[in-house]
Amino acid sequence: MPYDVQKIRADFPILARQIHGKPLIYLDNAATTQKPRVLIDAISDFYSTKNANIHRGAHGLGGEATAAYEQARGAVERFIGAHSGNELIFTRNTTESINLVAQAWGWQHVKAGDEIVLTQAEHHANFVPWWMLAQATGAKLIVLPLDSEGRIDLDAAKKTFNAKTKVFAFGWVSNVLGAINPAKELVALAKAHGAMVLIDAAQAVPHFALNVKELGADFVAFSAHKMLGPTGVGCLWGEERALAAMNPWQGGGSMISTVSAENVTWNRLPWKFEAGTPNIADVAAFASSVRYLKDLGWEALHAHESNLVEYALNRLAQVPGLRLHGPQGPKDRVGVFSFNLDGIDANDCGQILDSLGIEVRAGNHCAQPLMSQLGCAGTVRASVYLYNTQGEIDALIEGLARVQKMLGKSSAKAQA
Amino acid sequence: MSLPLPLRLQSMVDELAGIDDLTDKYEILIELGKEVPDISAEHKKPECVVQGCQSLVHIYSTFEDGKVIFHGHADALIVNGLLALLVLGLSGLTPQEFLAIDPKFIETTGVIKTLTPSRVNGFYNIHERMKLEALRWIAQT
Repeated sequence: MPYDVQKIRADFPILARQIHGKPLIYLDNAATTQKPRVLIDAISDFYSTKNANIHRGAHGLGGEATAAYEQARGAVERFIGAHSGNELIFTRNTTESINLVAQAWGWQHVKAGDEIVLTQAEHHANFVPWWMLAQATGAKLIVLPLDSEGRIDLDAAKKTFNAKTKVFAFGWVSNVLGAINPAKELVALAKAHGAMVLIDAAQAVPHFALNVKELGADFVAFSAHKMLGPTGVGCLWGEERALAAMNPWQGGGSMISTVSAENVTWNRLPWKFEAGTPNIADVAAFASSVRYLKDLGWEALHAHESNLVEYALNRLAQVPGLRLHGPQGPKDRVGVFSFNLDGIDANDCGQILDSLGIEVRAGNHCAQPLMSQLGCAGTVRASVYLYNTQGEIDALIEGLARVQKMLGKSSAKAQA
Repeated sequence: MSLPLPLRLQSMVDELAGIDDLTDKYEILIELGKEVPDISAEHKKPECVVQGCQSLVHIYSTFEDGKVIFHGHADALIVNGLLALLVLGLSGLTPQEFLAIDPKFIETTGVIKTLTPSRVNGFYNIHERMKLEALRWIAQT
């Protein structure tokens, strides 16, 4: 069946609205994706028909709510190739998933003199928790460089990993550059030295199939809201043995088995890591986003995104004075385009585009170490997803022409 | 209570408030920025940098016949437009008159609600810096 993007757009109510009196052109999908009607309805349905606290066994309604919550866990596990029922932890977001590992696993295993290896491209979410761990333990933080297209330099990685490497944490897909890193190869290199490997898959899971068992990593973190799901739901997949050996992170209700003044025993996986009442409605509804993506199918999604990537790269290449960061070609990249216009402040550019109804992100994208390598304080980032169209790319290009007319050197005053 | 806005500032505010289209509003703001005389390299020094702005902003002042004259420059053109409202609109007042004007006038332009929070803070940080300049002149006279 041909990919009918207009039919898909009709599933996303927000895409019909206007912003600043102009049609909304949403190109900030790397920050968060829009939500399909099925998700919005599922959230409403949960609160209308199933709302109760879960895992308490108190009554029938609680049983239905628990079932909805746990069914969502199963749906997400199957979606990422995990089947145990014990390996997927719900958190608030990718950031919390990574903090959970950095603190619960990190405090147990990392000591002074160990090496924690990250990369120059990391989002602060996958940088700061490890920096904090290194500061607290006396471990050494090592930052891997990137190649000319912004991918992790494999040669540097090979030379860096050694017996002291305790942690290797990296982003599968750069949130700034859209570059896809060879995850399996990188995991194997670090694993050969016995390192624990965590993958920040926040920008990967929305775009291609993830099979956690094939990857070989110990932990994989991602967020629901970047894959048509609700905000406030993060996922942490952990290899069952690693999770079982880990101490809990936060203490409270649900994560315990028995509590007395003398002793506390922990609940079994995965609840050992889910203290307190979780985000029940959003987790339950998240299953509908996963189903939406499954029904659409990776093949159709890839074909559409590949077309958009190729089209956008061609159009952006025609903009005079535009410097695209990261991969210049369509291979091994997703539809995240970070760029600067000669002589134009990135925030100014984003602000003018916004006034035209074109929503992009401008700034450092929570990746200041990468900005220092790119030699700029910030970039403009346009990112596409399954509902974007070539017409919206055209609107971006026209918007950039307007930006250059308003802000370009030719329009600037003579500098004294 | 805030004093009435000086005529020049009031006319700039009115002009911005009277434009519905946001892009056109920015265009006017950018044009206003071009009216601010650039400052010489000797004043682009760390002591003149306004802290807390996303882009590089310099502010300094001179004192002539009991009135404060502000000078400044921002690297980003939209910020330079915001700076123009302050520097062009609030120069030529006594320090006391300057201090009696509430910078919340920016809210009536319709520009601020569409700016990022860091840029809104930037506007107020520029004003804070100008306040320090005004207080310095009061202390010196």
